[in-house]
Amino acid sequence: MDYDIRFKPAFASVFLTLQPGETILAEPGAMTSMDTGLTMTTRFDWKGILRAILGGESAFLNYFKNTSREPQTIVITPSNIGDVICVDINEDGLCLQAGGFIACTEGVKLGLEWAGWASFFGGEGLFRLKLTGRGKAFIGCFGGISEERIPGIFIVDTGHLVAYDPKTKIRIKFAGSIIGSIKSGEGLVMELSGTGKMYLQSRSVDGLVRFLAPKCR
Amino acid sequence: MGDILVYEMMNKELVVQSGSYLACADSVDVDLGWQGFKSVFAGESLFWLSISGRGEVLLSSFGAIYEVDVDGEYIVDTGNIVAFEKTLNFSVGKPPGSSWISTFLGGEGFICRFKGRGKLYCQTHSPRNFGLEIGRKLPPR
Repeated sequence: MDYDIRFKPAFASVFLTLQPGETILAEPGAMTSMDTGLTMTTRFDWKGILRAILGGESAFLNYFKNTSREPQTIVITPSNIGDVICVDINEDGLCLQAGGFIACTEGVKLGLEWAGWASFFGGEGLFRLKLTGRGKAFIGCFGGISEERIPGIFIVDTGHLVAYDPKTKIRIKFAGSIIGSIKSGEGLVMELSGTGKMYLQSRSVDGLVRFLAPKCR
Repeated sequence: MGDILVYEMMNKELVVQSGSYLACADSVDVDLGWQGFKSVFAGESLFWLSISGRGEVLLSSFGAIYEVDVDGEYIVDTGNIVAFEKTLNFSVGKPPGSSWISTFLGGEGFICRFKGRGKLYCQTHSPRNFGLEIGRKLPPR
């Protein structure tokens, strides 16, 4: 499988070439265009329903398989506008916030993990998506994406965390004092502790919604 | 919100999704085209613009625009078509290998299958998908 992420970072889109027999899994609606030698099957399992109810992802996944004898191309785009990155998934896994998943290769397993009440109050839901196995995954975000290593303790505004090392501990706290947090508009923040990787997005969907809401009439 | 494409008209005919038309040189003819009722299923407006003549045409999109040189067949999701040369024909259907039920459950819905030889311009992002993502968070009207 070859891939090329084009139109970074504003309208990133994944241009994939699948060799005969290769398969890519993508979230519903992500396929933009493709060659006719690919067949699409839609699958769901019980975990898929759980993922939908608890993890904020879709219950279904589309499998695109190259059933022809020649390389076939497919273009996959997330519904959000922003950057896309490709990450290598191994047995250590990677946790994803709701909506971050776009596509992955066949060796990657999509699981669900208890995220805790802290995550719930941070507006991210009680469960989180966890990718394990072996392969590549494409992750999309709203705005630009940055990959960093957590320097022991790090504070992130809610809605800006995209993915992180599963060993990371997350606490929700007020940005300052309670009154100061409300007045400053920062509200709740996430405190990450650990030394693993984290992926942050420069913009938050909630920010866009707050910007648009007063203009909708 | 997105890219703008400059298409150089050279006595060919270009079919443009009406929302994507931005501007053109005055030596270019813009006509209302008709692609049949299949356009309704294609998630596009019923009318298309049929552009011919000589000169520049500016097309806008949601997301970036990419060009596909179709020689044979090519599949595009509905809502991602910007324009295509008249030498191409499209039909509306489901993705190969899928059943109708799974197509809708899988969120892909209808797709457009282009046949022939010519240039096809697609936009990377789907306004509908973005609208669904943001729209459900906005207050009701």
